[in-house]
Amino acid sequence: MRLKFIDVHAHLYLMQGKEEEDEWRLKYSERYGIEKLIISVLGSWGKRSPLYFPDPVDFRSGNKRLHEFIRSYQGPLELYGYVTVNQAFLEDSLDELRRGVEKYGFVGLKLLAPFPCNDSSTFKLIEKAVDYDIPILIHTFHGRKSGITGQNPSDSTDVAFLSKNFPRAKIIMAHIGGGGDWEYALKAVRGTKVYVDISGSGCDKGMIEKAVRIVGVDRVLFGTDLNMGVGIAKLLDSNLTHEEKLKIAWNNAMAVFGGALK
Amino acid sequence: MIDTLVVYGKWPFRRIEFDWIELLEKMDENGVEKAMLFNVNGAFYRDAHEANLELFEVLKKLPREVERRFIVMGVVNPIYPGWEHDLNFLLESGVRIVVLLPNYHGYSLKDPALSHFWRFISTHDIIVSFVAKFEDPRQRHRLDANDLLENDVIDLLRTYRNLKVILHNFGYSSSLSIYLSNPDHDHLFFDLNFFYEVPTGEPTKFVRIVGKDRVVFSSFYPFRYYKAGIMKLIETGIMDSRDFERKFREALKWDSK
Repeated sequence: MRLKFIDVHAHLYLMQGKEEEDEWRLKYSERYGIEKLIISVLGSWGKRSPLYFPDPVDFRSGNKRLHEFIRSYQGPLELYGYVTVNQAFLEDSLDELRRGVEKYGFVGLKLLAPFPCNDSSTFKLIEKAVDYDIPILIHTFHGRKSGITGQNPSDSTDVAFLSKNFPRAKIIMAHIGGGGDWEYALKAVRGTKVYVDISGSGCDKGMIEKAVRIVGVDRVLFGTDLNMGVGIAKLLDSNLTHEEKLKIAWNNAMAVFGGALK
Repeated sequence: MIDTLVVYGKWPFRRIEFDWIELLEKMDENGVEKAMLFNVNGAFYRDAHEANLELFEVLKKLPREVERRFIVMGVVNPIYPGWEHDLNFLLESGVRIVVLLPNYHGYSLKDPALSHFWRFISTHDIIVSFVAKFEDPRQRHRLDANDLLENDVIDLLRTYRNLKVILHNFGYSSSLSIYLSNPDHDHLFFDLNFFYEVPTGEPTKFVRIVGKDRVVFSSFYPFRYYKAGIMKLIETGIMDSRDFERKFREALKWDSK
């Protein structure tokens, strides 16, 4: 069976001046055999409020634009949405999660980085996502966190903590290729129920093989986070069997998102 | 196509396997005729030239048709005694590209004591490769060296305008700053490692600004998955361009070899 891909970490801008970039992303996704994209729109991408700390107006606007875009999209790809929220505004986030899942039909929750995900204020959102049985994509940084302007992201130990305390939650730790000590990140979530996505510009040889070795092939998901060619390249070039690549590229995402993906 | 950066040797901060058979397969799969390589042990040995000798010995054991596919880059430490002797040895061995690692060997490119070295490089038409870093700073081991600073390179290029230079692993913003500070420098080449957001992001913007004939391919094998660098070239649309590599091959006098 030929490889085809589900991108569990896709983004679109959906804003004025960025039409060409969005068009390219969709065009290249199609070219590379990425058939399904699970997309998040991070509000106004920092224009109205900070990128990783959007205010409620901002994240609501991004989700609404994504909903309208998916509804009107006529192309060959299958597009799905994450409900993007800022857990610092808990009531607004819970309200938006309900709207995103029940009204927009979005299939996952995207947590940004106002503070690490092991903060107790995140728990209600996690419980709600478990009730909806949707995966939670957590923006995670794998390096030294001090000094990251405008964000206070989770690291892998925070994600592992959350998974241990919410064993029914389908948690996806974002972008092991997103910069940082990905070897540390993999070791930190070993033995938990955390899924890892391979997205990001980082393409250290051995990364995918080690992810499979440490967390198991069933917990590794294909994603790009704006780096499509590199994402495809690192999976294709990895020393894995075709069956293992197929799991990462497609089957695992179908399993974790359950019946939400056609 | 020429792969301008393959790294032999033992990287101390992560388990990385160098496999000649795999490398040759990747080169063949991706239409790469020759690869330039150096021995990273030269960053860590006190006498960096020993790494060159080590690499020569390894290459000698390969079948002749395999050895011919590799272009050795010699590691030179210009603040270590005997560099001129070692550099002459490299020249006599046919090596015309040297890798400088000031951030590992502990000197500044601005050091006035190096003026004799730079004159030697210029007069012997030697190509200089700078490798800014080997790993993303966000995953850097605490014992690893910091990035080579762009300002040091900018000043060097302003002073020695006829130097032939390949800048490896500098990333987008540093590469752009170096180019914009020396836009008329005739022999200045960049790879696209550590450039982000393809297809619409940094590689494409960079190629639009500097032109196709200043960009070179480097796989950075075995640090990185081979095809990742190839995909960037495809996505920036320069893979099939006649301009791509033309100037670099001229600088290398590739076609006359």
